[in-house]
Amino acid sequence: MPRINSATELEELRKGLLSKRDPDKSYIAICSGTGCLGLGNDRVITAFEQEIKRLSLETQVDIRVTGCHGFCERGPNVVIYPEEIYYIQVTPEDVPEIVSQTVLGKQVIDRLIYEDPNTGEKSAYQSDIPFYKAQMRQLISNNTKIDSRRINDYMGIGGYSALSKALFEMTPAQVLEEVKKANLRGRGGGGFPAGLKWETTRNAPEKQKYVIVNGHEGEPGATMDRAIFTGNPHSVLEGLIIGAYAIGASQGFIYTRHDSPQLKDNIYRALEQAREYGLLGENILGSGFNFNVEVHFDVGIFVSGESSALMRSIEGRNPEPRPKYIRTSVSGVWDKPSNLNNVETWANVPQIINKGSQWYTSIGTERSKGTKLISLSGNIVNSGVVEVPFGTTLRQIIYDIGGGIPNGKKLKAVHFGGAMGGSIPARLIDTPLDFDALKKVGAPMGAGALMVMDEDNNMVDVTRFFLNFLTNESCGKCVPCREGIRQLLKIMTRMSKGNGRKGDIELLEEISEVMGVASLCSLGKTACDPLKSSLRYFRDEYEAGISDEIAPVNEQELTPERV
Amino acid sequence: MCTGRVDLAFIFRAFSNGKDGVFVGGCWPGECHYITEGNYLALSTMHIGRKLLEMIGLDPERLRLEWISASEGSRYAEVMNDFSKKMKASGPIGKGEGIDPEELNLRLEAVQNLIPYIKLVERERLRVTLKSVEEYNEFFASDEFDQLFQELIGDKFQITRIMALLRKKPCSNKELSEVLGISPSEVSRHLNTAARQGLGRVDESRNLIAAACDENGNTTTSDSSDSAVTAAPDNDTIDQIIHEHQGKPGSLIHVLMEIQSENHWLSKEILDRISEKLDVPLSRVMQIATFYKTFSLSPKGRHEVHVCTGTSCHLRGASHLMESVQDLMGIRPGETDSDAKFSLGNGNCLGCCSLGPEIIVDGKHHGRVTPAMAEEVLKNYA
Ligand SMILES: Cc1cc2nc3c(=O)[nH]c(=O)nc-3n(C[C@H](O)[C@H](O)[C@H](O)COP(=O)(O)O)c2cc1C
Repeated sequence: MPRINSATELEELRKGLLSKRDPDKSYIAICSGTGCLGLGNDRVITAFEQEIKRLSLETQVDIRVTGCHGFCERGPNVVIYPEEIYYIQVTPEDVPEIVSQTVLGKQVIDRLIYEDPNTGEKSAYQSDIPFYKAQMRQLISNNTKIDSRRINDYMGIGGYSALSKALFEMTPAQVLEEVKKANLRGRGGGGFPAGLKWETTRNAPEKQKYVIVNGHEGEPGATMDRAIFTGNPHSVLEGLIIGAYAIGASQGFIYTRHDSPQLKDNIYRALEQAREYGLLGENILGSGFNFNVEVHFDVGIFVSGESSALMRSIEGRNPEPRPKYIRTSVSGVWDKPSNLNNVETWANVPQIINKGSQWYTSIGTERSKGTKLISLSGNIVNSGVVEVPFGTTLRQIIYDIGGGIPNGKKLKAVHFGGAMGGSIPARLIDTPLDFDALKKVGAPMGAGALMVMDEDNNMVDVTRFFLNFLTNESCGKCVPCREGIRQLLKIMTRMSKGNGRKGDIELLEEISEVMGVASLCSLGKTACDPLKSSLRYFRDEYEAGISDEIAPVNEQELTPERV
Repeated sequence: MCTGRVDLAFIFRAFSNGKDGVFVGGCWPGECHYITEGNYLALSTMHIGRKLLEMIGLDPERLRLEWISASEGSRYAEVMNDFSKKMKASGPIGKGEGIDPEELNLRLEAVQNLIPYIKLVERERLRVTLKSVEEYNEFFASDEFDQLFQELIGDKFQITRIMALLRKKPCSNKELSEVLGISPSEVSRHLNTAARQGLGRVDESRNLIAAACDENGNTTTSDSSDSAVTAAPDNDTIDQIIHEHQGKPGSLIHVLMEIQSENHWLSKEILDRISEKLDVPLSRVMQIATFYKTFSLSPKGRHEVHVCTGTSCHLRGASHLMESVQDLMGIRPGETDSDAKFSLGNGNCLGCCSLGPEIIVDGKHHGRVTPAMAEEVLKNYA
């Protein structure tokens, strides 16, 4: 691959790529996200490759192994372009028929298209399927179009044009200003304005600064970061390079999961390709800007997604958080100013630069702009990854996109934000997707994992589950978190067996309060949020766990256990 | 001597010497001459001693404690007559219970070996500061005590017996299970603990387990045809991984991660080597290696099994699936079964929520598995 030395060369390369490409050429996009992979789509991919080879169609038909399409529930998914015919639950046995009938014969195979389980209505095209129709796919839409392993596919859809625009048409201060004006808020949990954080790091006195991608995604049930990072790694990388330029960082880090081989491969490959093109390294695109990226891995503990813990981990130490009065944006990795953003936050940057903050702020609510990826799971008909503009109500997400609750069950509650989030009852599902509105009702969005619970799910059990998760994931550095969660779990365990004692609920509340003020990092501070929200809305279920026959709690029992 | 000074060791030494019963008599509670309240200590000792007798299959009545003050001569006579009558009825030690004399010696020896440990445990975890005999009796009869005893002492006792057998010759799980009369899954659980403590070693090729050291803690060095050793780590691969990362700050986690995924576990030798080559103190290597669940300090089975325990899978009933998998394999998360076939992992969410609940074997996902289907899935792995 030739090195690209200027903005003009980049555009020429793009033109060259597009001119060689016949817009009417068929291509088969096979989903290779974690869900479809788990359903055995590797066999489908091989079957397509063999079939195309057998019929010597290599020049006429292109195969693209893509990232997650989002419709995990009905995978493995295959889309036939340019018609955009969408096939679900494809098996290797279907492959010869798809190639002869659809790819060559341009005919839809009825049995493989989506049929609405309620209305019986069939949809042959992606845009007609209700799951897709109700979404607004800005970040993830390219996942169905590009082969995540090929930088040229990304180039073909305008990739790195935002970087070129930033480097050659804007000063770092202008880039920063644009991101601030767009009011891009962090997608990793806190919803903190990215522009402000960038500015802090930019203005910090140390010369050496770092930018970091948080791709840890430790929240159970959250899969959207992986969907973008695996499916379109260059979009995140492009955002990161633009951010580094605005902040004045020459070194970046990617921190991600170690347990997804595909994610790892795609990131390494993307970095290598970007280096070859001169999009990383010295003198990027001939602009004089230098920037390098290193990859680090989480080896399996939730707390290492927390900013200061993550930075300790990059240094090769145990991921234990630091007190918050030292801000990582001023003193982070190796005590240098370090700006950390979530994968999805970075992925938003190129479109803000390309289309402008004005366009960006036209989407969403007053204080939450743009779109948000949500991973839908739990007891819902269509689990998967979806993207909607802020302001969409939870009802639209659950019923219009998610298809409602399976097996004729009733919706009981929805839970946002994982082990540090909260649950709200079904009657509140007209709440719009919005950082502040959701926080107010007690279900802060977190990273965007939306868990749907039906009438059979017990809230005490769900809360106990989260506490159990957190006992294993707390780093153990500070006492309120380590011991507090344990004590909460102990009480919740007896309550879930119906052996709660009088005074248990009050005790839970008291411990939560102490943990909230005394813990070092947000893990301990918000570990009780699921408890608090479910006590707020489902107190009767807790009361049902209290037995009248058991003696009330004795304060002394809380002091170190006699074990 | 004061009843509080009667040590468990004295009691069990008497039984080892063939005595059929042990009687301890002394001052009434509340009448102790010292502020130590020594007779409450005696009460604890008696309860623990009886529990130990029960554990090794002996009649707990063979140990008796009575409160008899110096002025209660007639009470003393009454109690002693009763005790001898009962002991006569019970028959000679072991014989009365139908235990083979040699086996009885083994069991008593195992308990005696445990006594220093029990005293430590007693001081740390079983010490009760209660105020009346009733409270003592209640505590020692409680489920809580039972559970603690089983966890702290019961398991240890089985490991001690296993090690005594292994010091004689390497055995298979099956042999151990037969001799000890406990289920193979229990045996593997104990062996796991023993391996973690460096007491035993697994010979994978012959499926045998051998003791790693003799009673005095000296490493056993029999020739290779007889001894069982774990597969040695391939130093070249490890050196190469270390070499690739050497010199970079923060490389420790990378190195551990890659060696873990290559070798599936981190032996003492590997950790030493990493410490030396990366020039990082062993304490820091250990700090990282023990912090993360991903790193294993004991060998793994041929297949790594995970049951996803993420929230979505939980809502869809993963805990029942987990129970069923545990029953089938006879091990708990974090353990490896005795024929080194399966290791059961703590299943982090791998992001395939639409497939839940799922079992992941060696990275291959088996989705939408009901508890009843678990056996069908695992059957395919040898
Ligand atoms: C216990 C804990 C775990 C976290 N895990 C993640 C994570 O997996 N991914 C993430 O992006 N942010 C995570 N965060 C939030 C980060 O600390 C940080 O706020 C975020 O990455 C900043 O990026 P943003 O401003 O783009 O959201 C976690 C926070 C805590 C307290």
